[in-house]
Amino acid sequence: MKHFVVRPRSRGGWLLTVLFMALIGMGIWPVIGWFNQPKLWLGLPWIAVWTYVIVIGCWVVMLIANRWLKGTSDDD
Amino acid sequence: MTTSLVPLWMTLGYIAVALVIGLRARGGRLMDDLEEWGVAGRSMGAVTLYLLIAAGSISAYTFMGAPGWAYSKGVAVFYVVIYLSYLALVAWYCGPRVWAFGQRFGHVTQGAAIADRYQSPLLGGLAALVMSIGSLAYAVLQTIGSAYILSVMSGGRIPVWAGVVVILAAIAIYLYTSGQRAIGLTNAFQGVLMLVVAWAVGLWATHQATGEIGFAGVFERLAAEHPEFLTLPGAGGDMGFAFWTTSIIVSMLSFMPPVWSQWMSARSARTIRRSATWLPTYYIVVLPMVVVGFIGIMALPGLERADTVALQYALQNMPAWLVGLLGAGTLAAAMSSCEPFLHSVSMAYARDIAQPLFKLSDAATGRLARRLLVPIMILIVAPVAISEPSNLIMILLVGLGFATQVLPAFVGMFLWTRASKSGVLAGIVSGFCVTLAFTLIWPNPLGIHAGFWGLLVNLPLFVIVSCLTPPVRDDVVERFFELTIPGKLPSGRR
Repeated sequence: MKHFVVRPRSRGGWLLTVLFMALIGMGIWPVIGWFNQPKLWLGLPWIAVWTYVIVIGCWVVMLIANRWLKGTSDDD
Repeated sequence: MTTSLVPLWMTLGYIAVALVIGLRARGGRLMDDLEEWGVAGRSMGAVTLYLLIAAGSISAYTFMGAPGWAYSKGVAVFYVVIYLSYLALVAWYCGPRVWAFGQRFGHVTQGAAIADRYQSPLLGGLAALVMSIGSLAYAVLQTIGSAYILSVMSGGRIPVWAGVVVILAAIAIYLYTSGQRAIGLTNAFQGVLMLVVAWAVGLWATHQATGEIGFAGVFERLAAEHPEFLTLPGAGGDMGFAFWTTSIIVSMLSFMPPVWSQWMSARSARTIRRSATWLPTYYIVVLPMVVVGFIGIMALPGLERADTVALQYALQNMPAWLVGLLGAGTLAAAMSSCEPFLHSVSMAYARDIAQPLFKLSDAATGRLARRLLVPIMILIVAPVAISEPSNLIMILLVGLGFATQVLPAFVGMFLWTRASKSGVLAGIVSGFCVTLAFTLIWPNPLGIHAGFWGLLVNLPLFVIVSCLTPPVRDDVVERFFELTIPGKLPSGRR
């Protein structure tokens, strides 16, 4: 058997992988450092606002991913 | 401060409701079978699964620890919300594959999947055994939290030992009777209750502290008086970027056994994706409780135990019914996290250790898993919880650090066909030793999480040893990766 590392096999798959990675990048250093200010936005600390931007981002990306999977044979 | 018995009755009322829901979850089904008792006949719908996973991941930490972190460290507490959202991404990707393994190959535990993929009952049993250390420590911590709540709600009338007995007895009765179905339905109830309680308490506390409904007034005052709470490394100075980043990475890569069972309880792979998609929305439950912690900085300075800030604030400033609601919500959070861990440890001991060791039939293993629940509670969880050991947090940290070190086993299931039994074993053992040393002897060097140091040694060693040792049989790897890659193996790779 020829061994391999699993990779996305379509443009949509690659796009989803990049979006997942981008979301993870948004929550860690160095990005989190840009929001490390004692300032408020909408009455909340910048880091709190950024946290919930990531939460919403995860939700939206998975919604998009589900929609994309519906159009492929990969679902279930 | 309230001295009414209303909070106690409300908290006990919650236990009674959870008990009834848990008992009714059985619905006349036979439970001496791991397919039914362990993974609810793989029948859970998206909403139940959503609340099951959400409530399971929101432990007493949300009602005690998170306000305590806000009170003592500040915005560093939000790392929890971020890693919980990333766990949803992990569930979205891995959950459907785990479900497919379980459905096709009959796995009901994480250890069984590892044993099958690497054709090594020893590796599966070893992973199950060491995972159980972290799981039991977690269950004990939640039990102690539950007993503490009962003690506070009763004004000290119910001592901690009696609280431990009451909580474990309630869980034992419905878990023994209805298994994973009880966890599903009670977690659904607990999940809704927690969401209501957190927002009711958070908004009430905010209104009382600022006269407003929004949180802006709390943070404006904090920015003016204590700006160090609004940035990393926080007021304690111990949550720098390195610890924040590595804590998130280590936490999102911990594949705890109960989560595995929850994925396998789903009705279909699509069900898991749907519930994983909506999971992040549940984590708004953390925000109002964190705000209570921030209010405590100004209202209750100098608390001896930071994790009691929400309870202390409630006892001093809120009406009895709201204190009771907080007690019920905190107890719901603790119980909803405790029961999946007890359930998964029973299954792991029966299926991954006793069955291969004593060559038990599937029917005998199913009966054993169910019956092991009570001895595990009586002989391990209750005595340890009653003794309230000071080093339990340390055991938990080591246990969770180890959970991350099992990562190579999952890399070999989801990403890399060449992963070998020896490679996984080398990775796990080396990673565990490094994590243990960097937790107990030299805690978190350079401000980096001990589990991350473990992974830095673990993963390269796993790859090197895997490349140098014989791979797992082709037919085994092929049947796993035919499910991992839904479009079947690419041509030329079979």
